[in-house]
Amino acid sequence: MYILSSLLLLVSSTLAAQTTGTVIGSVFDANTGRPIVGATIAVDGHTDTSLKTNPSGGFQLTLSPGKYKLRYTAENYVDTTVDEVEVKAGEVTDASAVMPLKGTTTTVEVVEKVGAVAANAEAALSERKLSGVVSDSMSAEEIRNTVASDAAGALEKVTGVSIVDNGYVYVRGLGERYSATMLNNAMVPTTEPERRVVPLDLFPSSLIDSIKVLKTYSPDLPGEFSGGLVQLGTIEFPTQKVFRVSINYGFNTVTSFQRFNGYAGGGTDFFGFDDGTRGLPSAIPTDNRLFVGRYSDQQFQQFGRSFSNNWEAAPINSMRPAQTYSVVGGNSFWKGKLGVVGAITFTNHPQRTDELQRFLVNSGGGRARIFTDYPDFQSNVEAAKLGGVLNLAYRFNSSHKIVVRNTLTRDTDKEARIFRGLNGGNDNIVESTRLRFIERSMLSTGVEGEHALQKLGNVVAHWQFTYSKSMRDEPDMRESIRGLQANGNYSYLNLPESGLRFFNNLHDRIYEPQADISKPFFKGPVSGLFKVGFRSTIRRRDFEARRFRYFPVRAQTIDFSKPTNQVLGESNIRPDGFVLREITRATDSYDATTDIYGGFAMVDLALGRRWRLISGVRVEDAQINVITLDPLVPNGRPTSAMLNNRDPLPAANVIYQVSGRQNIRFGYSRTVNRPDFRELSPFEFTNVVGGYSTVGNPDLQRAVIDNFDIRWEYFPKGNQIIAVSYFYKKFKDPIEQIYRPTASELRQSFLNVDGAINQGVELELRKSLSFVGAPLRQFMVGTNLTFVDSNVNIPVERFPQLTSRNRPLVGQSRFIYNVIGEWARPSWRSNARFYLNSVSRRLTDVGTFQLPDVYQERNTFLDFVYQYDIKENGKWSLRFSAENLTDNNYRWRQADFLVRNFRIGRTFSVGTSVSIF
Amino acid sequence: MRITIATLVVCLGAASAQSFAQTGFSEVNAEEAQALVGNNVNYDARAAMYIWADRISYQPGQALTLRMTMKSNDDPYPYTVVAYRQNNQDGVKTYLPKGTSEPTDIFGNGVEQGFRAVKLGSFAKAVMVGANGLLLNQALSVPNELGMHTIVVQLRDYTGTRIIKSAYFKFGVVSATEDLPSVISANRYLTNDKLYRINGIVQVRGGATLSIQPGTLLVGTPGSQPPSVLLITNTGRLDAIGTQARPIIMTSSQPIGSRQRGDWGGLIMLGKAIVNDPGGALNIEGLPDSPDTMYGGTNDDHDCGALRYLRVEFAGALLRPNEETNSFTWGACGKLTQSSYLQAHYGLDDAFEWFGGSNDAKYLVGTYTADDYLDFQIGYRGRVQHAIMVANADRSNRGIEGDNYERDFAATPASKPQMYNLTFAGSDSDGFDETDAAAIYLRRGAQGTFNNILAYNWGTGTVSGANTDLLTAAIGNKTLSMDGLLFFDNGKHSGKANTVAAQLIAAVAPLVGNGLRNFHAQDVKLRRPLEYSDPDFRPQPGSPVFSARWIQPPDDGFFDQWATWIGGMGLVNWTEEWTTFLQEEDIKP
Repeated sequence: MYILSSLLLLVSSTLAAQTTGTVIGSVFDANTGRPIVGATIAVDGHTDTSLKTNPSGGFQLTLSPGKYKLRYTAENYVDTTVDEVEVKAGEVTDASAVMPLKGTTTTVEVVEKVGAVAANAEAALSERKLSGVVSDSMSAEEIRNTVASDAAGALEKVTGVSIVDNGYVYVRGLGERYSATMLNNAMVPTTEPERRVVPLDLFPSSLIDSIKVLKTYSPDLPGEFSGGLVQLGTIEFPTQKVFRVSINYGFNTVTSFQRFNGYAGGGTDFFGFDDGTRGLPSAIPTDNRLFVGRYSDQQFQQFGRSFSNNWEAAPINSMRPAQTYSVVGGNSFWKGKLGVVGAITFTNHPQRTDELQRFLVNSGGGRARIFTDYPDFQSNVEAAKLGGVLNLAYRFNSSHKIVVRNTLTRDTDKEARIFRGLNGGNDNIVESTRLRFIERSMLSTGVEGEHALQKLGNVVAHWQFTYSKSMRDEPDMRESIRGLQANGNYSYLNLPESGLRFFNNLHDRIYEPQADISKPFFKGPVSGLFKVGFRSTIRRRDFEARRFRYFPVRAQTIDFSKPTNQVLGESNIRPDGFVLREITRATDSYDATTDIYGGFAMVDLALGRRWRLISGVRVEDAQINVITLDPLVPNGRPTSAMLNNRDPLPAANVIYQVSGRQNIRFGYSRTVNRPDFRELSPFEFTNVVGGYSTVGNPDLQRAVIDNFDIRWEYFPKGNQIIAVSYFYKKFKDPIEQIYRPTASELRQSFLNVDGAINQGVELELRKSLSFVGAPLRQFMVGTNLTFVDSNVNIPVERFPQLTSRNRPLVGQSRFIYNVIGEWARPSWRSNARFYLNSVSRRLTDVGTFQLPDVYQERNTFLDFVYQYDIKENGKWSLRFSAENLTDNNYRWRQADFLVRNFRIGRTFSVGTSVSIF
Repeated sequence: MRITIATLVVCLGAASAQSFAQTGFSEVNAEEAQALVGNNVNYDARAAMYIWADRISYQPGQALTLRMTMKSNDDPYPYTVVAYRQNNQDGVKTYLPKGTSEPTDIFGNGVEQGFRAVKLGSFAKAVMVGANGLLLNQALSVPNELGMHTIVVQLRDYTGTRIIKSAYFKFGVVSATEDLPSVISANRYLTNDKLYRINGIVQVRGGATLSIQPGTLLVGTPGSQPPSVLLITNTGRLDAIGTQARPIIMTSSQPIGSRQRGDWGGLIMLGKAIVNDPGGALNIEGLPDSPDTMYGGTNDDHDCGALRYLRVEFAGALLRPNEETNSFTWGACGKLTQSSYLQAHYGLDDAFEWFGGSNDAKYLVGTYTADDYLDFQIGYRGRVQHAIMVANADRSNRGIEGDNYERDFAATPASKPQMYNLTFAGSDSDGFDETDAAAIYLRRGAQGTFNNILAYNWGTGTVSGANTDLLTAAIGNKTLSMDGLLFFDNGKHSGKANTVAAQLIAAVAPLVGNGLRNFHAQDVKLRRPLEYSDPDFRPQPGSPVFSARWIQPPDDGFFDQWATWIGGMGLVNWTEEWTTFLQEEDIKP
């Protein structure tokens, strides 16, 4: 609400008529792409000393319509002029420029011409061209043009990236273990108790302005990634006032207007907020576990009856379509000194999925047979996502700026899951109904400042403090199981998951102060930037869960053949019927801390026109600590685990500029991968989200990774690119998942294996088809292809339960490719794109007991978007999109069996977007 | 009439005869008694009776109230009723109600006065000793004699010379309660003058032996996390050797009537005998991984300790949300482990479960456990003889549940126990969390020998299983055999006829085929086979237990050769005195 009212304020205050235009731009070093700070800009020969580039090299001007000549002057650089900058009322013109260093060029003056608004995609490409590290990025426009509703979907289009489990990014075949996520240059805590990184589907694409995947490390980055560092930036400050409203409706072929199994919840479920319906009943003590002996039978009866008695799904005959509403607004005030931008987005997206799920067993000699078989595994999810951004920037002058960024995202899944089939664990035909409500949210607040200190030789100081908090709240998860009896009817079964109520709550916080100082220096043909800084990532997590279960005492007093709501009805909750017991485990509560203190020094050297070297070292101190202690149990014994490491992490990136349009890059870096605290703790954790229990290994060491990269890039013209990369990563002591059996189940643990190698090739092409012939001028094709090969050596003699001795990394696909076709016809006010994304088979579960590994088969997706501008300037547009036109058949195989299989249907959406200004 | 008691000044007054009459002990005189008995001088009691006190352990001076339930079952015979408290340390008996050392009947008449016989009636939960008690109008002040004591009520013949039937209640007199430490790593001896409390995991390790004196009580407390279990790791031993009069009892710390399955964890013994996981050893779940919490190895002789006359009651707390502990868990215990006269009473999971290993067991009693009774997997290869397993209507699943190994049905060495002389009394209902509640259920490649088995009143049949192709193969290979099975009324609930064909799943039918095999579907004719709280599993005259063809067990030094019948019990009731069959609701205040 706060954000919305700010937006309205902003709109009302900027309704003045527009008689001026805006010129923006950035000034870069021609060789290195580094921003030039403090360059002076003269308009038509007029010099205003206050008009200088800011610490990012940027500037902004307001001018009356007309044509202007801009001239840039900076110490050590050759003066540069941009002619014919055309300013139109109410529009933005880009007048960015590059300035060559004096020692490296013989040209006296550089003159460039620019057109009107430069495409953001092009800007993103030129940023890449001059970037010190290997990165792939997507601009806001590219993100908007995909059908993706969140950052995860958008990232799928990036070279070498695949998305696993809806929100986790695999870069160059390396999974979440080797990736990290930053939002507005700060590490993001995760909402998931069993994961290391935040799922990217938490970030609605309408709040995201840029996505960058850094594939090589440099010392000013946190050293714990190897595959990719995903950098998300929320919406940027507009150069002129903006207020846009968008509405979108999506129709899924297997969900919309189809039968759907929801369940009765609270009044605000649609928006993703529980209204208290699922809260822990007030009768349940919060300061004590419900232990036998502490409370009387009557009290237990009262506790048991205090919960809502709703265990069954409620069918809806015709489900509503998906709907999305978003509003973005922004403006600048006080002659551009204060910039404000805000956005709100809300989505409610139902999805039904009908799966096949199977589990196999070794029936002897590695012969697989079906152990558990659920041919009808139905999930009905109503996802509600709400997000908001409110960013404020204040520019004291061109040298000093303070920015405050706030981001809030929420993502709630309301799910009714129903499955039927043979459960091999107890040889029954069972029917399970599970009702869940999971609220995830992430709040990030950061303040940062940038200061250019001209008196100190254009030293740029940057500081930032960010507080981020992720939460996951899962109130009152309920599951009940019925079994097929000899008489053909289903009746309530007292399995361990049956009659279960589960509450859990995760808080993960990161406090992250950081600062760096960079100073440019010039000596003849050598120019450089020296940079030092630090970043402390202080992470605190606490997790709390309570588990309750109804246990039948005297079965003969209960009629189990009744519907579950009656079986577990109030009249059956009594001392000789069902009694409520708390089955919370000691390890259901834990506190964990991970403190990483990193300091770095690096230099970015341009040696003449062609060579550039970026090198330095970062030293990271890491302290990981986990304590499990149940505060509600008297005389509880805490269990703790810890790890301390100090690692120097060097990196060197060499760029050879073959020509102005061609680079060759060489990179070497050393990064680390630390065990997560759950992986370290000797205690067993019961997984909250499902899957195997986890028992850590206190002997784990952090893995060290040596990364080598070679890349050739060619930027022919405009936003076209051809690039080829080869990468090679050598892992020492990589941490791999293993499985250990206990009498009742397998559980996962972790181990430093001997070594692993991961290497691959990436190709990227983005080209206009005009070279084929003029009629194809309207077409542009982009494609990228990644080939990855990895190998892990498993010491099977120590873990004879594991089947494979050599295998690829879990989650690595051999081939990933994207093809993007664009068609634009401005005269028809139309543009269209199609996206083809294909990810080859990948290992998802490691095989045990002579059963082969489980592979997910190739997935291929085809999306299509068509946009028509009702008003010429794009202020009112219509959009039609078709998602998953192939209706991809998701399937997993083990041995010769299909072990998991589903389709999610095609989705057709229509939307409209209206800009008020 | 008047009764005075030397040690306790009590006046029952004229009320007592009246009360006895009301409740069912109606006096008969000698002539009447002789007339009732007639020629049937060796008569046996048809009645059921059981007694219980308000607690299981007392400190000296505390008040003890004793209650009794009697079901005459139309028993026509006259009895002399004798009640006494026995100090099981020195054997000294103190007869009630007068507190004499010489025997008296319940009216206080000694031999000199002549015992008075009564005819039995029926009464429930009547106070015998305590306020308004039928026998003593005042609670018993517990004497300052530390150790295990037993209150006994006997039905003797009308002359008072032959003991026909006894009811027992055992309790401890202790000076203090002591919490056991979480780790016992040096030899330790627990004595019966104290009550020991298990709160959380108590593990014995580091080469230590925990020894327990006969008659010692240990109580597990509910609610601790991790739950209260006595864990004998593979580097520790347990010597818990009780006697028939002084069994060792591990039970719930909760008061009688409020005790439930799962109040505490149970007894877990881990060793280094062979398991058939390819890793050779597995971790016990719910505990931090360490070499101490693993089971499995290469020493099939591994000695986990010696258990004898030991009861584990109300066990089965959750070690983890989906893992209930068994009353008795043996993980990879080896041949030198000794186990006999063990009772698992009111467990939440299985009564006895073996994970691999090769330890033998004799004289096992399982009562009212919620899951299965004899469960084995991961390559168990031991021997079992003489077992009585009783389910009540509360809930239960299967009599035997046998797996080779859940993750590799052909893992070697295969689970292949030899079991003889077992009685399974079912609850005539669907399984509770396993829908197929057969008396014997084999799956996942289980093998073994299962002979001389008596089973009745199970819900869904006598022999069943899964992965039946493996059962067929094992029968063909002669690695699975079953013989000497007598069964009745298994599956009347699910409409299965009392015929051999209907009671066995098709895969095991070849076991019956050649006519030499002995599968009998007929009334088993036991004395009180379904009389919960006081059952009697001995055969009636004419029972097929002796007449049906039984199989001679191998003469290997373990199996008793004289057990020439089908089922867990012949004419001798080996469950006498040291066990309890009390249903909690039957003794709930």
